[in-house]
Amino acid sequence: MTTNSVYLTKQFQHSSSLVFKAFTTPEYVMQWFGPINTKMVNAVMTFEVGGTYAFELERPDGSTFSIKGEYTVIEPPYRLEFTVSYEGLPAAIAKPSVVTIVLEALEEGTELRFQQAFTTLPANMEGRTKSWELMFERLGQLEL
Amino acid sequence: MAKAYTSRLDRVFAALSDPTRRGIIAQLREEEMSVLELAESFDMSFQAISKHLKVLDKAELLHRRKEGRYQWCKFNSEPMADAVKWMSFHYDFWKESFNSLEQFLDQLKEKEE
Repeated sequence: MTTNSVYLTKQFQHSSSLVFKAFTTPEYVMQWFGPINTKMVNAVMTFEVGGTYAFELERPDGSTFSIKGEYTVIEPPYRLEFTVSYEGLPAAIAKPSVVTIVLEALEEGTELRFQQAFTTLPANMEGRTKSWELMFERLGQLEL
Repeated sequence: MAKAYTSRLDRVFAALSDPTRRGIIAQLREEEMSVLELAESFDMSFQAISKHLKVLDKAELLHRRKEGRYQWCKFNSEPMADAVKWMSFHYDFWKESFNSLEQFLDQLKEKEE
């Protein structure tokens, strides 16, 4: 397990094919993607391996930021991988992070396992992978 | 602003990359200590511990004050909050997205049935 990743797991009562479907068209993605206080105002995507996407999100104050990337693995209905770049964030990172979504069918419903791996660090932090990893490792223990 | 923000993060991560410095922070979270006390507690020379403190100071992770011949250090958690904020942004981003996804799937299911 790499330490410079964000992990999330969530169980849905829906089938994996339905969960997977929610990722496949801009009409669907626009309905759920993004933090709770944002609204997706524009979504363009080519849902195929090597295809790209660009989502524009609007904050409550009217400012916007973008998420862009490329689909690298599409294996319906169990696996999805894509790169993620941010534009318009205070600490944008130079190189894309990689998101992996694995859907596992449960007896009833689906377990979604999410990982976002940061291969590079916030601007000016290249070459400091070690400290970045340690940061992830230590944050919990410091209990700020 | 973005640049100032990231270079500050940069210094925080660099400061925390060393086990001794993480140890110093762990101690200073408990109580204010003098440089001399820190040197003793880490079994290091005054010069060696001062070097580490300088790195922590640069990352703004210390409050320092002088009292007579003694220098006192206290932990300042504020710059670390920036780093935590950066990471929680990503965590919350997806957590909130997946919560919305759950609601959306209910609608999608109804439509399909």
